Amino acid sequence: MTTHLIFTWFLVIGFVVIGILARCIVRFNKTTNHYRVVGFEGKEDFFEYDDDDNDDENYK
Amino acid sequence: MRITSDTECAALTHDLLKGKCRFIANYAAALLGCGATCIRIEKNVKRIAETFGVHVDMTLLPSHVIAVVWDMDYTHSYNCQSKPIGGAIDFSRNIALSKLSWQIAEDKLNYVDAAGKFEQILLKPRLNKWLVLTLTSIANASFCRLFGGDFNAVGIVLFATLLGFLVKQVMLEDKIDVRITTVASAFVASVIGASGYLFGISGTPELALGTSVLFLVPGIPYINSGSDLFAGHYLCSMSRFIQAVILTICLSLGLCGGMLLMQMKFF
Amino acid sequence: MEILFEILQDMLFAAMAAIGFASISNTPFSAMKYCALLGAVGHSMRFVMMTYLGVHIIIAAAIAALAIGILAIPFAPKAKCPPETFSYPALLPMIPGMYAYRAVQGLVMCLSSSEESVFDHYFYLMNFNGLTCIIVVAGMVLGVTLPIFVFKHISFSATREIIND
Repeated sequence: MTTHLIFTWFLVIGFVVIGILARCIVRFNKTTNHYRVVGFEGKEDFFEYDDDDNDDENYK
Repeated sequence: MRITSDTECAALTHDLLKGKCRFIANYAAALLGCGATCIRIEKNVKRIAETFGVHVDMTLLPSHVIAVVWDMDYTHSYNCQSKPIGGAIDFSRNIALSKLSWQIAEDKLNYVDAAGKFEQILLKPRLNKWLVLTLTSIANASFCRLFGGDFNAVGIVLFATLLGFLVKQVMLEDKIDVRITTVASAFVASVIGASGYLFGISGTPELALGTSVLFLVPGIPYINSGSDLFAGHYLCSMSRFIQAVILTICLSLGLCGGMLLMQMKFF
Repeated sequence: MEILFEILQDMLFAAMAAIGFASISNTPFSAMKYCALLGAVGHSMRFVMMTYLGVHIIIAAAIAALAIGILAIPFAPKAKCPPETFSYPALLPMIPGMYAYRAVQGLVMCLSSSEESVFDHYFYLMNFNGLTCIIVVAGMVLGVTLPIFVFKHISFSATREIIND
């Protein structure tokens, strides 16, 4: 009974840690795909580049 | 000729009034959004309005601010509504905005310069999130000690708060609703807080479990609602109180979920 | 000597708790030392009153909150911050968490009971703990807010820059 609970405990912590790590990795990957572009007024602009989607809607 | 100058004069007055009104509405909304008490918002806005040479009537609603601005002879008026941006309590912004109102009053700033300074204040970032995580974990662990927990319980609560608060930070960054965040965070913290019972490492396991979720209690909205009650802003007071009660219920739900999963009997 | 050590320990942990809760609300560093001081003073006052003077928690918490509220007023112009910046986080270590838990526990147990006597027992526990918790919090809110309204002039001009000629 207690072993089963200890296993559940480790499972919950494992899920949480892996979930947070996965979220951080996904977010890190998104930010490293930013391009620096000099816009019309000479101001720098950042936009997200999405590998999967080549629609113009991705661009600001 | 006369008509043109009157029209120009009216247009200028209208523009000035519009600019002042928008600034006042945005300023009040920013103060409301960072968790200032209604009486502070009223006094700051009154000070600013006196400097700008306008009369202002303000309605403070839980999620909106409506400002009606009249010129000194009550001939022209402008009204503007503004929604608060950001819902987290921010004392630094509160201090900076209050300081701004005194700067406007004493340096006699016009509304354009004031709006510039106002934008600067809104751009300031919050404290480093890792520092906040560390300080909160230490704080909740101290809390456990204050309730009389032994040092093993304090260690359990430290770890529980670390992970629970990390979950809360990550979920809030993803703009997940704060109520669901609270439930999830309380669940994680209570599961770890139950390790006193599970592994038998603490002499006071019930205190470890009980204090592991206390970092989520929305204390400041309760106190703000009390202050608004004294000032007569009953609507804001009730709204803040209900918001705090809902967060407390979410916290309890998460705690109960964690205890059910760990098959804890109630202490 | 032991009493002094216990009080000092209480002050230290209350100060640490106050700083931590202040950091969640984004209090600037210049105000944090006052949070710590007020938290330490308030909590240790409540501890002394409850443990050594036998005062009821409601009265002890209200008096401690009043002390925090009153002490925050002179510190406010020094730190150039509104007094609620340090008095509200300093109050948070005094929130009675255990009473709230026992109230919720009483609620759940009385709803899941089948006999009247068992229900009555848990209903009593729920009401006793729930009412104590609510009235303690109300007393603390009253204690900390009253000085701000009484000393209105200082409270609402604390962020003013005083230029000495």
